[in-house]
Amino acid sequence: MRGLRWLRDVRWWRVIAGALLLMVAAPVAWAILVAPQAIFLSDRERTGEVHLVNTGSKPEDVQIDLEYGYPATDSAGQIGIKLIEDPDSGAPSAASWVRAFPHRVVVQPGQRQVVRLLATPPAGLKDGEYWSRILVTSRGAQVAVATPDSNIHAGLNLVLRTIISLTYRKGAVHTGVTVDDFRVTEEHDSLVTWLGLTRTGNAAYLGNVHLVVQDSLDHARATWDTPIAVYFQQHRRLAFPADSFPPGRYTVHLTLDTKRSDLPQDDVLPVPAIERSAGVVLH
Amino acid sequence: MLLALTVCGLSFGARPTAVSAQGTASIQAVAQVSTTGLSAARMNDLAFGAVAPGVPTVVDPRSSASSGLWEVHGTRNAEIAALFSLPDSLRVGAHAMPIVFGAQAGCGRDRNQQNQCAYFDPSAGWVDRIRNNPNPKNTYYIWIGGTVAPAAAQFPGIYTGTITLTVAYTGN
Repeated sequence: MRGLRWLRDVRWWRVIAGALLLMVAAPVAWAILVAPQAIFLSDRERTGEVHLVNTGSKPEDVQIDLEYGYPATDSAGQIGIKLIEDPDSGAPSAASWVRAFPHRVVVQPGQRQVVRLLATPPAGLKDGEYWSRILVTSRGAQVAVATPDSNIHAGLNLVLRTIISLTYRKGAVHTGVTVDDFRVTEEHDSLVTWLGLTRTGNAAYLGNVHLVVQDSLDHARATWDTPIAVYFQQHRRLAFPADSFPPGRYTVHLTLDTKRSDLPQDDVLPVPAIERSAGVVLH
Repeated sequence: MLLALTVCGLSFGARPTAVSAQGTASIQAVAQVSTTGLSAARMNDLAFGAVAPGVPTVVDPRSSASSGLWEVHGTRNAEIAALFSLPDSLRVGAHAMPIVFGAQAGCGRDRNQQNQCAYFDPSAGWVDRIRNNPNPKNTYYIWIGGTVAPAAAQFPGIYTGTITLTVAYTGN
């Protein structure tokens, strides 16, 4: 049933159509499409599928690995994907007990390959969410820099690794987020928002950050929207251009909600929206 | 049939837009479910070609046709993080040639305009947004260059190495 539900929710035909369009629009030598962007498994549906489409013109040697990881911010507020090869025993990692079949495959140009995922969680697993990242590594042919001769030649092969998320839910799961910090500052010609978030509950918070900038007359001057995922804590720095704003006092309104357009809504845990405001003076 | 597929393909990432200075405005909640994928392509390898002993050779990612190039397609306006695994030398057999990736060895832009891309330090990673356009213009381009420094007595041969780009959405 998982496959049928996936077909219904994901509209696989769109992915295929998109892949075909890519092939028509931009024929390239080595290219791989990985879909969907997030996999959700549970104790009721322990299997899933990842689809690989070779949109290029040459065979792709693709390897699929699983590793514990999640989005996290660094000290500068920049977001990235933190991968942890050997997580602590207490980490909510599903990487060691979710397997991908096949683990390695050659995908011919224009071909689609289904990679099946099977979760075999340990007995006695507590209710909650368990996470992994699916690492899809694709390699092309070796770079052709020259034929051997008496000269010195140098070149590098480019390897591509695409990461998507995997979530396994066991029993009752719930999530939420608290806003620990919300500040807005002016930095050069940018408006910088600092956003400190801490997840509550036993599951990752998947939502949106929606920001509206209002001038002193309450006119909306700009809005920004970005998906966000809070697995533990985040302290994000979001910078936006403000060089077109005249000097003056502005108010930035923050809304955090869980209405994600890029994920199946059934897989997003709903949380009531949170709203905050902060002022800033632009010079 | 092709037309139908093309129209369907535009739903790769759907997000309504309104006013914005940069990035996207999302005025209303989106009821439509549109789960998407992430597609990436290696367009060019990074090639230094023939290099002279004792003379460093630079490939500028903003101007050189020899730059490495990846092209990414994904959910329009989605934020992606790029991480790089970079070698510190190229090798042929037991022989090595140093390679350096400086603070401007990476360059990114949401469209294929190399001379307008934004430099970045690939060793620090890079976060930016996919172009806020429907498929197939839901793009992001990453160029990479570097500097090789062959020794004066560098052993002749074809020195190669591997750069791995890891790309992921930051929102899930």
